[in-house]
Amino acid sequence: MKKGLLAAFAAVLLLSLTGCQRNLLPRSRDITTVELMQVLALDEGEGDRLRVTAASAVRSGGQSGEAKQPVVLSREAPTVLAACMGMQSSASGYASFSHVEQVVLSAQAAQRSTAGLLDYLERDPEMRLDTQVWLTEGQASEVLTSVREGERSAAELLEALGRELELESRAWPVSVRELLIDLEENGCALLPVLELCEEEGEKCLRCVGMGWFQDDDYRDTLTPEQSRAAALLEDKLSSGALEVSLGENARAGLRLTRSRCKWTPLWEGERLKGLFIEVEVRADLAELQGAGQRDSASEQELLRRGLEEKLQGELTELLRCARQEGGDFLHLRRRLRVLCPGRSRAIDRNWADWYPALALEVRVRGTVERSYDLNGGAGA
Amino acid sequence: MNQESSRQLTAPRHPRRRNGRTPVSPGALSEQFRDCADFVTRELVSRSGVRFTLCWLESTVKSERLNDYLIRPLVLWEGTRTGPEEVLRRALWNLSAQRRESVEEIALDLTGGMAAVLWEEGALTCSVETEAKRGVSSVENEVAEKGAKDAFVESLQTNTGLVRRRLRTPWLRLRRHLIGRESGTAVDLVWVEGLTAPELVERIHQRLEEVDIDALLSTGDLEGCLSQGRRESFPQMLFTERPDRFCRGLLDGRVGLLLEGIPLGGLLPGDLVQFLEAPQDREYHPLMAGALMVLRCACLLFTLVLPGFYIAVASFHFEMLPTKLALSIIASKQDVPFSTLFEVLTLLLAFEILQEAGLRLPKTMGQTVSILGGLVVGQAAVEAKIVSPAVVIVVAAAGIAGFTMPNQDLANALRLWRFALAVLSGAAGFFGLTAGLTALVCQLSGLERFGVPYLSPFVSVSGLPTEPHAILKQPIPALKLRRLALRPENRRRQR
Repeated sequence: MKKGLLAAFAAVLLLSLTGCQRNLLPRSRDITTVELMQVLALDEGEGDRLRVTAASAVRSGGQSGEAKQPVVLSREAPTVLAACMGMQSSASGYASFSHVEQVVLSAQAAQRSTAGLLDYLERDPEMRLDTQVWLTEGQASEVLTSVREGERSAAELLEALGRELELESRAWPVSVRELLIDLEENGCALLPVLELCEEEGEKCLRCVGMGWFQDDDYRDTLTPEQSRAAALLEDKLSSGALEVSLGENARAGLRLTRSRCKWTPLWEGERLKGLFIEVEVRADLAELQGAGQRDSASEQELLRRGLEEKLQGELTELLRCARQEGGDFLHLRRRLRVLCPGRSRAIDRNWADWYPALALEVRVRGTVERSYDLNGGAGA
Repeated sequence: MNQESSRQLTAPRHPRRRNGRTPVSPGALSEQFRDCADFVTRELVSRSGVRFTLCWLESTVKSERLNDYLIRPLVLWEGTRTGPEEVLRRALWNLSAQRRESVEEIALDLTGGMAAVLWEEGALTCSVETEAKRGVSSVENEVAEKGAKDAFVESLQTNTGLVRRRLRTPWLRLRRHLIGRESGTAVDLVWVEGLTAPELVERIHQRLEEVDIDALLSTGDLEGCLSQGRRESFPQMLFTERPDRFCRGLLDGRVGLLLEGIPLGGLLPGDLVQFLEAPQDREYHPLMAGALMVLRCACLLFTLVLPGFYIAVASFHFEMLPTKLALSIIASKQDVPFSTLFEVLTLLLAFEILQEAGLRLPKTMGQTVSILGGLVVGQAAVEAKIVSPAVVIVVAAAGIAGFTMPNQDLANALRLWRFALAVLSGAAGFFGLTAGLTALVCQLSGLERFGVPYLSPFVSVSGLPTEPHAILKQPIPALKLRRLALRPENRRRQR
């Protein structure tokens, strides 16, 4: 009897700890009544308001076989939270934002306060910090609505684009977490920029490179060469293609396989004078056109020098551009604080003085490994 | 040695029957066995003129033994002194015979396959029991690839022989009890003196003495009596049909119980790890045995938790699901009109019905049930959109995981708790599931039999340290000590 009473008391106590004030038990929602939103698009609305557009994925028809078009919901409200809550009335079921994996920001909306826009994603327990962020110069909602009628939804297209970025060298995926950390540090960030284009009569999405964000202002899109250089410095380059001219109508296609940066700060007493960056790059020779009668040793040397010169030029140009604009979007200060933890306070205190006069020197060391050659065999 | 005292057993007391000591006479004995068609009496006169009355129950004796060991010597006996000792020592040719002084004692002996010899000065009973019993057969349910194939049978004497054949130590003790007012079932308490804790033996002996039941005809009767009516769903006592496993339990420091008429041996006290061990574990390499043990533990959790976990994520916590899996589940549940909780409970019930039907039907029809069940439940219900494929997979996976339990009693307990956890998950998601698991752990933690916790060796016993290697097995040379929890008198197994 006593044990039964004790068990009943424990059960009542445990139930009261569910956190539900009005209802004792949590509210259940069957998964079939839920619309899983996978993409959010944030645009500027009228006045101080925001327009939030959400889209789900193409839903497989299951046993009936007929696929269902993605659901696209849109609402204007003062905050992202209010807009998301307002969408519940438009959805046929419960619109769940717990599976949002992509966020598209319009440049105009981001100019208000990027960190503010993403605050909902940062704080709400349903949202994910590893959500990928994209920037678009036009309307972000157009990205969702334009590709709606295709076979794949915007969510799937963006996910595929994110995977492709890793195979190229001109951009890399950025998550909400990384973006917020960068903005928190110095207000600068690099974001992949989307563009809506048309191919063979069909709307498609394309990433044109990394966009440079500073102080809630979208400054510019880096050129592909600058984006590649930035990827090298950020250690985000895992693959990519590079063309090297060998003269006399000969050119080589190199596949970048590995890169590594070594940073060496140059101190003069307590003052930071410069930063020496040594970049090691490995590439495979993937294609050779019009090489002519050249022995492999001299060809290899040409390829190596061509690779080094090209990347050297791109890196130098990027660093010059960064200094010229005054923004530390390469987050050199963060890197220096990691390299010299004992001097991090001095770096923080004096960075505004040191950065404009910092001597940035970069040197590229390249290695080209030849691919399989019919005449010479593998590794020839 | 006084053979009489070693064999003297008292019949279980019966509140409505005679428990006294009625003086012996052929008439009183005939009255006791009134309306028994198998009760036979025969008058004999020895050469010296002494009149004997022979009584027996035809169904329990072997006539050749009766003829050769009782009738012939009595008829040929020429002794004139007719005291019970004289007759016992000189007139009879039986291996075992004892004096009796009441009708109740003689009646009990007659039902046990003995014949009574009555004469003016006394009464004796002699063993002439029939050997019409099942021979030692092979193991059916606990098959081991490399182990012995013999199994316990219904005869207590044969079972005792099987144990003695494996444990030839002269310190093996067997204490007999008669339990059951009507059945008078012989139950042997088996232990190894000098190894098993004497307190454990005495506690179990006392508990057996206190048992008052009308008939002890199944293992459940005994287990129920020893647990004193407590309502735990988990088994407290391991029953095995393998004599080698029984002997291994004795050598661990447990006490064994052998029952007349039941082809199983029981081991007390039981703990959870014991029910997770399979007979083949000893035959495998310790690494393999450990891996299989880990697998069984994982399957135990799987079978308990999987249906409830699925209900919780599909009804409350779908944020936990990877997006593709969530979309796949949504697609599979399209057009199914029932909630996830209803689907899971219905399928669990269908699974149990199929299992029960398979057990009850004759073997020739069992396959038909499997096919019908698989087709009807698995295929047709899914196509009719009564249940979703995802739920069928979840319930089937949980069921199959439950089949890996080596002990059927443990599997049955898990089946019950699976339902309870599914209902709790349906009510409160992961919170309900966790509350259910907490209740289960609390219940198991509080279980104790004869001073040994059910969760030993994972829990500390009276300040003694917990012991490792319950799941991951050690090589045989490393098994130097017996387990602490059983408090054996001698912990050392080997050097």
